[in-house]
Amino acid sequence: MSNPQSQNLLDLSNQLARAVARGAESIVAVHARPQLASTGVHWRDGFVVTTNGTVRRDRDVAVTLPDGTRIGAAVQGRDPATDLAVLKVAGGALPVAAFGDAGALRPGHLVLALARVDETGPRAAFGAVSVVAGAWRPWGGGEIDRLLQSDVNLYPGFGGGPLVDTEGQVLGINSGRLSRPYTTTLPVQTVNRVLDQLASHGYVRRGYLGAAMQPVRLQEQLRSRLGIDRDGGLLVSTIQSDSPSAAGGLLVGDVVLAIGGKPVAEPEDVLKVLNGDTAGRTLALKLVRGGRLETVDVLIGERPRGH
Amino acid sequence: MGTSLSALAEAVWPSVVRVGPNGTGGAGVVLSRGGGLVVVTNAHVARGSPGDRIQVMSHTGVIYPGLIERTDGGRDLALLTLEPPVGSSTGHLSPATLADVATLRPGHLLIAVGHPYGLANAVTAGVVQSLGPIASGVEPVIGWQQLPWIQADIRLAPGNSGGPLCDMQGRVVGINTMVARGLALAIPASGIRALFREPSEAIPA
Repeated sequence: MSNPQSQNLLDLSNQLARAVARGAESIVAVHARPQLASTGVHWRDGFVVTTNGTVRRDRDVAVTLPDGTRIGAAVQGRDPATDLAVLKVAGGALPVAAFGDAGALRPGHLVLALARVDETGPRAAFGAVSVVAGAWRPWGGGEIDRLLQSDVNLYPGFGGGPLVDTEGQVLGINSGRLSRPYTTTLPVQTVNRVLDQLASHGYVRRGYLGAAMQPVRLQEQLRSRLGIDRDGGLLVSTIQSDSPSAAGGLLVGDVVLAIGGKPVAEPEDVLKVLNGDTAGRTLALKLVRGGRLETVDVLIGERPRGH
Repeated sequence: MGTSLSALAEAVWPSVVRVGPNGTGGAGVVLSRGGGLVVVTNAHVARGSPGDRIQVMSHTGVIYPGLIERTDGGRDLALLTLEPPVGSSTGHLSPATLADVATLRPGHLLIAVGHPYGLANAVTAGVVQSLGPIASGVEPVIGWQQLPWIQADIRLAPGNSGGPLCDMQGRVVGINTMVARGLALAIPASGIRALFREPSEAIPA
């Protein structure tokens, strides 16, 4: 096997093995469920990211490092909406992950899923990127910045582990729970956002208005008179007492066109704005009231936890 | 990658045989011993005792009468000889080279050649998933779990048993033996060398 093509294949084989070794330097086995361990990534110094679904208990959690030693870990926080959990470990215990450029990924790019379930060494599965698309929302309601799916097989214990490129750079966290039909990876951007919140608050703060809204069309005459370039907005149908909306002076019957400068046409659009880091900030609601354009400032509250 | 993988598979084919009558059974790997050719397969494919006759068929369809020389139930391996003895290469059969598995790492590319569900000389590709015993918690603890497996992220089916798992130089890194939770398990080449070296360890299947 000395022809140039075979040499290419041998080079690729060695590159993949190097990618596994490199990526595996910053992954740990997470012992937080009864049977097989899951995998976690040392994302920032002292913080290990894994999937919420694989962290079944809040106490007696431990991680196995690449050198085989087992150290204690504390559950820093969970976000069921994105299936992410963050564990706090001693700083400097292992290298922090290196991140790849998920924006450059296209269907067909070669990727590896990595795992560590015990002290015997890293595990790898190989495949190709199947689907790359824009932001989406899983059943749990969290905002995932990018759809990234691959045909990589997630073996038992691979949940919470990283998807890496052929350089061993992390592209995101593989979620077994969200993987149907293909393996679904939570992208770096989403993990960073959730980790920021879990590291500072222990949970993900989501904004709260306390108003129910439904899509409504506006008369063409009214639209042209007010210079509105869209069909309609969101009609406020209910306002909870003692809510941020009530305090800000929002009224039933208002038609909201934009929140914080972002146009809203569906209730989904409002959730998208509120899921950002909005709690505690004052946002301007642009609306139609009594046939006139008005702006109402609302101090965004924090959505009660568990909602 | 596509063309060179097919070239690799074609280079491996003369070292892969079918073991068992009329396409039943599994696969086997042709190896050289003392200037002649022998076949290594799984004990659970050979399904017999030393001295039993067994049919071996080349990838080209030529049938060679064989004999079970030795079985090792502990490693699930069997060594077959061809009767009458066949020289080092016949054009239909050619011996494989065994790899040094000590240099194998998770992520290394592999191909498997075998006869899944009777489909002759089928090729599948994948990578080394891990090396060593099966992780506790994956399967209930029984004897074979503790063997020093090559665990591969590669698709296998009944009929792959006894066939080769090869690296990107076409060298045999292991004998495909079973599938556990979708994970392919192969007996490393070091186990084949031991079968050649230590006949006294042989345990009848």
